[in-house]
Amino acid sequence: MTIYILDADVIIWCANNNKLDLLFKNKRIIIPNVIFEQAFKRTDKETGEIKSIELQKFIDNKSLEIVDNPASDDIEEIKNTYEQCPELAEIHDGEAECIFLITKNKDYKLCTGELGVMKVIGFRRLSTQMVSLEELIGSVKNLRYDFTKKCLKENLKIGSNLFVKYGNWS
Amino acid sequence: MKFADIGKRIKNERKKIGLKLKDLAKETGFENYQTLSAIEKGEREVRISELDKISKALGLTTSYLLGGKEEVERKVLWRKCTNASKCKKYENELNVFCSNYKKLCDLIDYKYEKFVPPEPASLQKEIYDNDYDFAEDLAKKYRVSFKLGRYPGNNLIDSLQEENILIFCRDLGDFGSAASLIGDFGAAILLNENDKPWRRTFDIAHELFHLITWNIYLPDDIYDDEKKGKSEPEKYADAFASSLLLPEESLRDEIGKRIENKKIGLIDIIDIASKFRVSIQALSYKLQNLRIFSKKDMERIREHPRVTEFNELRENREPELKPLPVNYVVQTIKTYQKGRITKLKLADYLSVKYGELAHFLNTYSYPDIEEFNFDYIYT
Repeated sequence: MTIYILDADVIIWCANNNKLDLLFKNKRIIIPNVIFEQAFKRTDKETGEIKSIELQKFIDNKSLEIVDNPASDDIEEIKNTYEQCPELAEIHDGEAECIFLITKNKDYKLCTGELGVMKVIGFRRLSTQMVSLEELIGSVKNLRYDFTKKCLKENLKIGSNLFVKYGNWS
Repeated sequence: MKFADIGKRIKNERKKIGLKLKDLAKETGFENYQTLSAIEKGEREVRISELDKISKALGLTTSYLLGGKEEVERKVLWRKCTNASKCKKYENELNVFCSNYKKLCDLIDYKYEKFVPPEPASLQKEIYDNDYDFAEDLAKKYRVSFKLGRYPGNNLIDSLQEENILIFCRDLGDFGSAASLIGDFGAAILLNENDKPWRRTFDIAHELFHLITWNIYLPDDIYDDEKKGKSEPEKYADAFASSLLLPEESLRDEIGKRIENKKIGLIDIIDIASKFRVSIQALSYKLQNLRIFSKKDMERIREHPRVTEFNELRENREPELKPLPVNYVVQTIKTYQKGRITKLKLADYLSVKYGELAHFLNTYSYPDIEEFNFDYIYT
C-alpha cells in the first residue's frame, strides 16, 4: 500500500480550504515531526489571526502517523543538495527528512507544493516517488497551480535537467 | 558525524552558555533529563525534531551541531552584561543571524556596501584636546553623512539600515543591554526589547559610536559593570549619543519657539523630549550642559517625583521595534523569490513557524509571500 508523506504547505492549504477530510480519506499518511510542528497552526486569510489546525483526529483514526528520524549525515547531505547546483533551493530539515524517507522506502510518495523541493527531487532522480495534491484530492476549485500535476511534472523535469548539467555522474 | 560527536558538541555548547543539563532538557521538552544525558554521552541517537529544539535553545543551527564547520568567533561588544553565559546564547544567535544575512546575499549574488569601521588615521583623533571633543565632533559628522536631519532619533533606525547596519531586538531580560558586532557580513546592533523606546534610541546611538571607533578602543577597555563602573570609552559613547540625538542648533530652535518671558513649561520639556526621542532626563542634562537652563532647574526636572511616569506616558506614541531588521526580512523574501530557498526554509531564516509566516509578514506590513510572485518591468 502506498504511504503518502506531506509537506507543510499541503496541510496548510487543505486546512485553509476545508479539504483536510478529503486529503486524509482512505489514505495512510506520514508527516515528519519537524514538519508537523511547523504546520499545526495557520494564518487566517481573512482576519490575519493565527488559528490551530486540528490533526489529532487523523492521528486517532490511524490515518496519520508522525515520525521522527535520527539526525544523520544522509539527511544533512540531502539538505545540502543546493550546494551542488546554483539553481537549486536550500531546503528545510523537515523537507530533507521527507526526501530521506522516500529514498529509503520505495512505497512512499511525497506530496508538496514547493517548487524548490520538486526540483531537488528531480535532481536526485526520485521523480517517480512524487505525487501532486491534484492527484490526491482531485481537481478541486481554486487549487493553487503549485499543487497541480502539470506543475509537478514541469518542476521535476527542471530538476532532472539540472542533474544532467550539474549532477555528480560518478 | 557519529552520535558520540554530536553529543559532545551539544554538551560543549551547552556548557559554554552555562546551561544545566536539566534546564536544557526542560527547555527542549524532554520528559526527563536522562534522555538528553544519553544523547550527550553518545548512547542514544538524537532525532531531527530534538536537534531542532536543542539548536534553538543554544542559539545555534542544526547543521553546526551535526558537525558543520565552526564559524570564526566574532567578538560581540556588550554595553552591559551581568551574566556572561546567558549573554553567550544571544551572541550565538546574533552570529547565526549575521552569517545568515551574508549567506542569503551570497545565494542570490546580491552585493551590498558593508559598513566598515574607519581606519584610526582617517578619524584623526589626535587633533582633539580630549576624547569627549572627538566623540562630539564625530557625532556632528555622522549626523550629516547619515542624513539624520533636525530630529535624528526619528531617522536613526532607517538611516542605519540604509548603511546596512543590522538592528536586532531580543528579550535580553535584565542581564543584558545593547551589544554590537562587526564581521565579514558588515555590522550589527542588538537591543533589549524590554528597554523603553527612548532608551533603545540612545542605545543605538551609543552602539554606533562603538562601531565607528571599532579600530580605536580595545574591547577589554569597554565595560560598564557594578564593580568597576563605567570605562572611559563608555563615557565617550554616551557623549557621542547625546550629541548625535540632540543637535545644539535644533535644540536651541525648539526652545526659542516655546520660550515666554524667559521661561518654559513642563509640557514643552515633555514635548521636546518626545520630538527628539530621548528621555526627559537625557534632555535635561543636555540643556544643562549647553547652559540653556540652569543646573538647578534641570535638577528640579530630574528630581520630579513623576518624571519616570511622564516618560512612560509617551510610550504609546513610539513605534514598535521589530525583532529582525527590515533589510534582513527583505533579503530573505528576495532569496525565496529567486528560488534559492524554499518557503519552509524562509520561515526558518525568519525564526518563525511556517503556519505563522503570513501573520509575521503582516507585522512588517508585508502581505503573504504568495503575493510576491510578480515582477514589474523597469523602463
